[in-house]
Amino acid sequence: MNAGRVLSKGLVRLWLPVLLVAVWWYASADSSNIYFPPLATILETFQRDWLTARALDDLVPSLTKLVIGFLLAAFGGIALGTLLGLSPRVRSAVEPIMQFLRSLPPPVLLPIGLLLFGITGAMNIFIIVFGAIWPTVLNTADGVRSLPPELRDMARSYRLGFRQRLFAVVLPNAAPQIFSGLRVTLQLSIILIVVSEMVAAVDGVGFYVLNSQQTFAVAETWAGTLLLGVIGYLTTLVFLLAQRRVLAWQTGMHQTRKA
Amino acid sequence: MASVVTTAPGLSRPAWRPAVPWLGLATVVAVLAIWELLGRTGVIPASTLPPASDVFLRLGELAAIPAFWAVVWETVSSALAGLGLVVLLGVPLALAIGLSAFVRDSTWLVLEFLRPIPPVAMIPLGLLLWGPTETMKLTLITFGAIWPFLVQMVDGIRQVDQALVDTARSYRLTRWQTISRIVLPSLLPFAATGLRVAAAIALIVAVVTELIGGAAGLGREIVVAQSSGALPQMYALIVTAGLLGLLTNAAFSAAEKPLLFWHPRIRKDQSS
Repeated sequence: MNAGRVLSKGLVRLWLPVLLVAVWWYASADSSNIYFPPLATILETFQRDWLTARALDDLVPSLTKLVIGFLLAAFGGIALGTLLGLSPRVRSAVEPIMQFLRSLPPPVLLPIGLLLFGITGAMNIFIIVFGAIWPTVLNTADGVRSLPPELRDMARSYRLGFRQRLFAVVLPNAAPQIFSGLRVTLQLSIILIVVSEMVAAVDGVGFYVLNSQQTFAVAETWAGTLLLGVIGYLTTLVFLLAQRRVLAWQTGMHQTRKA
Repeated sequence: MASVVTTAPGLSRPAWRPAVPWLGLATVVAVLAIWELLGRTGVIPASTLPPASDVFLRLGELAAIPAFWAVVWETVSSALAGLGLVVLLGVPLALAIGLSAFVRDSTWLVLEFLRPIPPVAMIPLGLLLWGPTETMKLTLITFGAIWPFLVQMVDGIRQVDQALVDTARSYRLTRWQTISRIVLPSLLPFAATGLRVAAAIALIVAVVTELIGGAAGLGREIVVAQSSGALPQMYALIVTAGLLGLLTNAAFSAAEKPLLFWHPRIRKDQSS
């Protein structure tokens, strides 16, 4: 693509967002409606609350819990999913219970978490792990199960040991499916950290936003919502970059096949 | 920001049949028995987890009360209404994005920014603007559930077989004929997948708005039961929410088969 086309494509992509923000900015500029403060006020609040050192008090606990919860759900999910994919017997045993837990809208776990852990960070993490693990479990199980017979035979004729077979054949083959499970797990983790902080926390971004709403701090509510949007966006971006890196070999393989 | 792995056109995962059918049932019975024992022997205090029999007895009692079904319907009806809105908004939007490069490029940044926003993030804002009302619930459900549907539909539109479209053109089918005979049928499997995922999200968002926002429905009843210490009631309601989720999944898988019997994926599943 030459410079001109890149430029025009960039322009086409930019005009609508720029227009929308501009409309918001001018339409709300001297808004006296208490529910829709001027965008300028929202951005000032955002800068005051989230771009200064004070932001760390709320941001760090939230992100730490999110990362710990997501990693536990991710690795736990891959381990459990691999077990289920390798052993049809184990899978038959736990399938009905797993289907029930997977169908449970995860936020209803909140009252249970509160009873078990009270208002603690452990409770927030418990909710993430228990609520967000299932897409990874099921996708890993399906990915592991879908090993092409020729690969299985190949691994057997090379007399690969169990560990080699698992880490060099089975899991790489399942990787694309595992990643699409992980992506849903990540989205659920974000939802659950926000919800669980709204209901049961004394700090964190979720607490800040709901607290702002309950104390009728309108600009703070808008600013917090904006921040949650930015967090959601950036986490997804980081995840996609990591996925592209880990699955680089796979993309390459598909391109070779097509060529 | 295209994802690296293009997922195969959805449909529910290939039917998985248990190797030993009775094992699943046995585990369910075992788990319930352990739950019951833990409660009866007091290993887990009844103030945390009442015995299974109490919970299921309570559930049985609830099932006889019309007010309980009214509460369930509050949740289900808003999820369904939200799904209706998702389709109403999603189809034209997906057609515009899928068919026009200009619309696609123009909306790209806006959609890529809006999509990863967790729908629950909007709850405080929704409460502020509309209070704990049906409007708030519907807006949040629609906002949360529209993305998987939209993404699947756009994906589907772009994967319509170009050879089929060219054939249609050389047979001089009208625009409407092309859409109704070629584009829509090849879109159906994508729509089915998108809608199935959207339904699960709609249910989650409905329950959360009730749980946090205090809108009428299952979620609010769970909070009420918890704060009044009626634990069997609380667990019975949680089980109800789980059963609703199971039912939603089952309903969509059941609907896929008769609607998409001609689709290669489904035909392969059945012949194997």
